[in-house]
Amino acid sequence: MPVFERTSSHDLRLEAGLKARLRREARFRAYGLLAVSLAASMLIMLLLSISVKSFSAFTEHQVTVRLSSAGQTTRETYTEVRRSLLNDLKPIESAREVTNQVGSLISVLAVEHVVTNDKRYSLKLPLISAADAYLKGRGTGTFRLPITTSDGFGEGVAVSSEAMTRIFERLNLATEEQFENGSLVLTNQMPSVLLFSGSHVGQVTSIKAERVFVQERFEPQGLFADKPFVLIVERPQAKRLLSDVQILALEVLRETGQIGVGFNTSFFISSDSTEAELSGILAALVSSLLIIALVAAFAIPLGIASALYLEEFSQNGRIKSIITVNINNLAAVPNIVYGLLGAAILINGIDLPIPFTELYLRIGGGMGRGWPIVGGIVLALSVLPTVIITSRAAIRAVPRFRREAALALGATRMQMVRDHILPQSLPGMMTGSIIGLAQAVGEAAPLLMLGMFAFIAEPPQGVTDRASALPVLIYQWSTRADQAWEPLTAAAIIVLLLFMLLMNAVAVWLRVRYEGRRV
Amino acid sequence: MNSLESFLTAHAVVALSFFAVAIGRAVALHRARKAAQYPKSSAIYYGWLTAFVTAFSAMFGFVLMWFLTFRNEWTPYIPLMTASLGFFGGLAVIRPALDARYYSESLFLQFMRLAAGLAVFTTLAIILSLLFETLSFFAHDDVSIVEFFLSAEWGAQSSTSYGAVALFFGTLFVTGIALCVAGPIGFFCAIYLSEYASPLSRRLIKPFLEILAGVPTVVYGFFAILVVSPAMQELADGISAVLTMITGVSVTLPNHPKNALGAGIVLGIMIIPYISSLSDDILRSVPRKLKTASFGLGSTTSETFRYVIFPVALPGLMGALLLAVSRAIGETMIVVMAVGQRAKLTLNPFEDVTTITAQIVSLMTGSAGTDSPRTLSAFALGAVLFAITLAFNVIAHYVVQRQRKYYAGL
Repeated sequence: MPVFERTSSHDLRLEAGLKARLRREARFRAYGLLAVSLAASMLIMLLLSISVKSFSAFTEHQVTVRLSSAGQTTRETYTEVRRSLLNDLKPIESAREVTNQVGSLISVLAVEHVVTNDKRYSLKLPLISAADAYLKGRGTGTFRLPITTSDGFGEGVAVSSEAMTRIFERLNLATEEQFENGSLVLTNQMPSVLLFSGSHVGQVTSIKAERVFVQERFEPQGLFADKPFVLIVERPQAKRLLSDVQILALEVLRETGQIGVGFNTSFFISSDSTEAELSGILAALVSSLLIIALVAAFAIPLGIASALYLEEFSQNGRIKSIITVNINNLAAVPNIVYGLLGAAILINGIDLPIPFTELYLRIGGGMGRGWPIVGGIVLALSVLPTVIITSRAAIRAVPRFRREAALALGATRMQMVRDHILPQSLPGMMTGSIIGLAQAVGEAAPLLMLGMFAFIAEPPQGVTDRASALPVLIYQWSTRADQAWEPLTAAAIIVLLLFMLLMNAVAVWLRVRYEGRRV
Repeated sequence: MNSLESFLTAHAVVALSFFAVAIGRAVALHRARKAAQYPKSSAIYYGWLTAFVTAFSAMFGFVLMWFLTFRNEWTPYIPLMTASLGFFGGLAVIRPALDARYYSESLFLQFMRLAAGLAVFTTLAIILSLLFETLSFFAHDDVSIVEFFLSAEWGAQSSTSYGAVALFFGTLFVTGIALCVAGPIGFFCAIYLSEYASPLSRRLIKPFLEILAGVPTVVYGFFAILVVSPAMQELADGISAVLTMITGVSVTLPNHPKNALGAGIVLGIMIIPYISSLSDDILRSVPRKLKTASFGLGSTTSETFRYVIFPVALPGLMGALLLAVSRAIGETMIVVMAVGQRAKLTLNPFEDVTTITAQIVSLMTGSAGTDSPRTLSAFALGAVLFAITLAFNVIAHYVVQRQRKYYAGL
């Protein structure tokens, strides 16, 4: 039989089969690459969307207020602030509705810390978050239309017809609809039209022919003389956070230059608050640092001691395998179970009934809800398996000859461990522990079980003072309904991620620095 | 326990142990000089011995304080008292003939044994606490085990029905969606990493996937409510519009801003690194002989994978999948933030469901007292969760071990 039997059909079949196989191969490889790029793009999308959302939290709009005197109490200072604002705005009529709405552009709490400062008569106060959002352009559906006006004969303000058509466009009305007596009356349920011109600053109440009728609110002060415009807010006043008067006031203040953009320092130096513009992460950050310090103090010594015992001193027997199996299982237990453990034993306590008697043996209990020490213990227990596993790996990496050399020179086992194994494996242990700690920083679930979800307005003073934590704060802020909390939550997430990045960078630096030192 | 008192006690104990080292050493040297004898061990070991005895006595005092059934104003100082007893007792025992090194090393060894035993102790504590509270829960009058496991009426917030089936279903539903996302992506990532990637790419891609694993779950939850769930809601609206166009009947798909699909997808993204790194390890642990033999016979990489590697690695991959599932079941923050509180059975992924972990959080952060059935039901749910994840982990571990043993010889 000839060795090479090449019939053409056989060749063609072989080649066709080969082509299909190679195509399948290329497709398979493409799937793999696609999977990797999908995972990468999801991560990038996650980080990007949160970062972009967080930008607006770092700046805030502030209004400069000149006080003629500083008050003794918060109330007095607040009244002073309100009076100064109204002075600058010059409302046409001092109706209570107008003064209240203008005054509420700054929350009372913003004035609080001013009282205790030394008397400063020119203050920069943050505006309420709704005003801040409006000024940042986040109020969707506001349109500016430059117009030309003339106060001609007759009532109202004459507006050019093309401006009028554009106004009607925005109001989603045909020109002749909803006209009674030939005039269109704007109600609270309709979009708001606000007029800013050299001679009028106010709300447009009705439109007739080519003229609009304005309820004037503030003196124009010649601010808009050369660039009059009409502001249309699509969402009706009844469904908005800011009233017409407030928007008018903000635009006037913006034009007089009293509103400026400043860095949102309160995000870093103050704690949680009911007002979005005044709240910050200080208490949560301090609590997190405290808890992590406690976790490190508990978990690292115990973990290293356990790992040394398991690797160096225990014999390969049932006890060692029981302990190892337990550690591996504990590493995979959900974190929330550790929180339940802490809540059951540390906070509530367990009354074990002693058989044959009426007595109970009380285990645990007595710790309070929200204490950092409880959070520290629980998180330490959840981090401990990770620390033990990485430490054991680091200890195993120490070469045998070091052990044998030390023992041969007469050291006891304990001395060998202390002087030879421990120093050499310590960098590896610390790297693994720091990575475990970095994960513990981001844990919210066990802490929620332990009562750390309350509103905490001050950093904790000690390990038995109520505390929160940064991930818990993020969770709380994300549940608040007001849209103003979203950028703040995103900003807090950025802080948390940076902190974890820092810890991981320290771990990597440790590993790189000490890896070359091996003998 | 008063904050200041416990603070002082803890610091005093630590300071005492710290100084015991120097004091013990000094005492040993002094007594040796007096007796005109060399001490049996190096002087520092007498210091360590004293320090360990002090520390052990302090620990004993802490434990004692905890188990005490009556408390008075001296209670916070018990550890300090026992520590001082230990300190002076330790000093009293020091004499030149004492082999301090032997005893101090044994004491430290006992401490290390205790530390290692802490793991077992933790497991026992978890089991004890969950069991205890679960039994208290079922001992209540309006709670029955049968209802818990078979009924779908979960009104734990408002009424007194405690049927957990809806919760189990919700958990499974969200986890199922997560697996649909994470399974293909994770496995194919692992395949690419183990079969196709160059060492340089491996070094770049692996840390990237580890970053996915390191992101805190609250961040994932926020991402879900910020981006994914609203997108899914719009998708549902889009589907409704398409269906309306096709059928001519006005169809609206019921949807909710917090839908199971959003939570499931984000949960899947979180699970990807678990699946991919475990599978990658397993695929790489397949004996090389099999791979090279298959290449030698002219297979492409994909054929080698499909006919040789995959069957061999299958048990291990199943184990990896089980571990990822157990992680997804136990995940809390993503589902708490992205999923609702309505316990209902539905197959519509655009509606809100609730899971075991979300209910646990809402029950524990609610305002009910610590002994009410509502709070205790959280422990019962936690016990179920612990049992399920433990079972999954044990099975996964066993499966992976068996695969490793079977192919160890090759």
